[in-house]
Amino acid sequence: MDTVLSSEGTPTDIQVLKGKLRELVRYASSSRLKIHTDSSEIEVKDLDVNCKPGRILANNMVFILMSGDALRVTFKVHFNIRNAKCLAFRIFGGASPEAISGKQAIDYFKEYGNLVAGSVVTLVEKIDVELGISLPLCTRGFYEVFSDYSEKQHPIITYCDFWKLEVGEHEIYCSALIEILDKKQLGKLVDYEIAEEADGNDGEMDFL
Amino acid sequence: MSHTNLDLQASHKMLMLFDEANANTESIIDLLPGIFLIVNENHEVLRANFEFIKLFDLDAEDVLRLPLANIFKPEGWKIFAHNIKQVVESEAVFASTRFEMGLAAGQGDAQNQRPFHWTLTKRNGKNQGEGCLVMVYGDDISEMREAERRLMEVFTSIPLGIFTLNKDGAVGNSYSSYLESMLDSGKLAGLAVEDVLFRPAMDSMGQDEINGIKAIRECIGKSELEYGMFAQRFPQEIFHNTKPDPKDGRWLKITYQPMVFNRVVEQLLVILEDRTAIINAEKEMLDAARDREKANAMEKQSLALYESAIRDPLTGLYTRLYMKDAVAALLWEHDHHEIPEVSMVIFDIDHFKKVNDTYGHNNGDVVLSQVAGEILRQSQEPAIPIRFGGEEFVVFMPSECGAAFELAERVRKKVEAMEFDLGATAIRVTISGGVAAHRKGEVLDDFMNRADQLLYKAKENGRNQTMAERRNPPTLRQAQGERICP
Repeated sequence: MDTVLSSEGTPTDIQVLKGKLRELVRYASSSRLKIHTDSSEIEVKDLDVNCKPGRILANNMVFILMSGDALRVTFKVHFNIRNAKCLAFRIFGGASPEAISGKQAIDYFKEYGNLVAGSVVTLVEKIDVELGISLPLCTRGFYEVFSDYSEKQHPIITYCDFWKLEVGEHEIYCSALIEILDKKQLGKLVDYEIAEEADGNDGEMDFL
Repeated sequence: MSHTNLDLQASHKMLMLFDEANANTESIIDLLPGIFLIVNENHEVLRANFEFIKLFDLDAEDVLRLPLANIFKPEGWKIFAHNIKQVVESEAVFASTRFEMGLAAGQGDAQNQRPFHWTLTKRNGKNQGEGCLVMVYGDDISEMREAERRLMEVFTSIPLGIFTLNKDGAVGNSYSSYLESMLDSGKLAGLAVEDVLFRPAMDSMGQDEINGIKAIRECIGKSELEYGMFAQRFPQEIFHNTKPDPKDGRWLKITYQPMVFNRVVEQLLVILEDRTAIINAEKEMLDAARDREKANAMEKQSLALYESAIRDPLTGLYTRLYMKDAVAALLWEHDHHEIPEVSMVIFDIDHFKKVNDTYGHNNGDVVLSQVAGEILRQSQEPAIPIRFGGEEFVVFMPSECGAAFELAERVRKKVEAMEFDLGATAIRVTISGGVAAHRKGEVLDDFMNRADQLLYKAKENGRNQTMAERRNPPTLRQAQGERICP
């Protein structure tokens, strides 16, 4: 079994660390979606076991990179424009999903990617890990087929996670490629408990 | 601003540019002409361009994971799936296959089925989630097929036989509806060129001709540089007849055109022109020309015969044979008031028997010939000068009696003045004449008889003189004895 030393030097199960990071990113994705869709009913679900990494999950995807000395996370949200319009039209103040343009729908999920990344950065700051955030990019969901999700243990621990977020009748897919660059710096995460945030003004839209 | 922040700004700017470039690339893919699809190993559509979406009236959002089988008719799909399998299973790098298959848009109505040319290309490398990816390019070639059909219509309506010969010397494609009737054969594809085109004529050919036919087969598969060597031996024309009657055969002019690929003669295009009608026409023209030549020769011959029959060879004057026809016509015209007057002179050389007896017939002929020459000179068209017989000459003319008298007198005076050189000696002769005018309704014999009687009187009166009627009586009934003109 892979092990890693915590900041105090206690041997920690690497799987726990991996699990914590998965949990953190999933949490960020669901908590930000609540805000972004103004909905309290968000369900996080695992994907079908037959759904292998690299499978195309939707017509479009927005991806954003969070990167620091200890950790690199590529977060992707996979969505269809039709769903995006349904989720976005209230936020944009439109009368109906049809009133939302394709570009607005994409911007909506770019902003969502931004929110998720911001949340992840905030969460890891609490364990003294600093991350920078890239701009969110959008491309066709098809390009997921070219992603490399192969798991690695050395020199960088690389693994991935896939999940589904259900907002009422709509569903979006998320994936994350997590690369642990420095296990030691992430030691505190093993004991870190992710608590529900009091969401203050996080719901404000800040479009690119 | 810190250095790090500037780097970050620059990176963000780069990402924005990349985002824009990506969006542009995607729109280019969307607008690719024809059908463009990327499908996974399970035959699900992963990416499609606008034309595909438009063709099947789909919502772009619903295209992902659309089973490709749904767009084909079952029998078509079997072929398509088989081709995908072949490409996927191929070990070649960027394995690809091309084929043609119809595609019916909408509800798959067979009438709407359009021919498409498909290219399937495998993308190397496998993805865990989707398996092997296959790129599908479909080109609607219905317009091209329509253009081909029109071209074929033009081709088939050209009165030529056009076909290709394959590497094995067998007929490949034929491009003309005339071909089969030209060669009196049904299905030609796959038959040897010798059997199709050169039999049964080939059975009676010499070795050189047979070698020429063999060269047709031998040139295929050879370099285009060698082609000329073979081509010069090819037969250029053949009489093709598979029926017992030679009239059923056809003269075929043969033209050959090599179809070169990669500098090798892959096929031979053979063009047949039915020249039977032309050759038959040429023969007919030749026969007609020969017939015309024959007819001309015969006409010349008969003209010469006629000429010799109507012209006296010694004097050059007309004969009595001609007189019958020509003078009868003249008298008829006078009888029918088409000409006002007809008169005649009858000449006789005085004492000509004595000339013959004294100087011989040859010298007599000299005299005859020269006197006749003078009569001919004095008798201007349309007068008809005739050697009536022996030393007697007659001139008919469509004029009144006075003119005939003047002619007779001119001749008489000229002859009187002539000296006939008979070699050893020279002699002189005189001539007498009788002039009469034709009376309407009078037959030739009577007319001549009257003139002859006047000649007789001239002789009686001492010769070397002309006797004529006193004036030209208008009709036979008014006739009254001989008179002297005018």
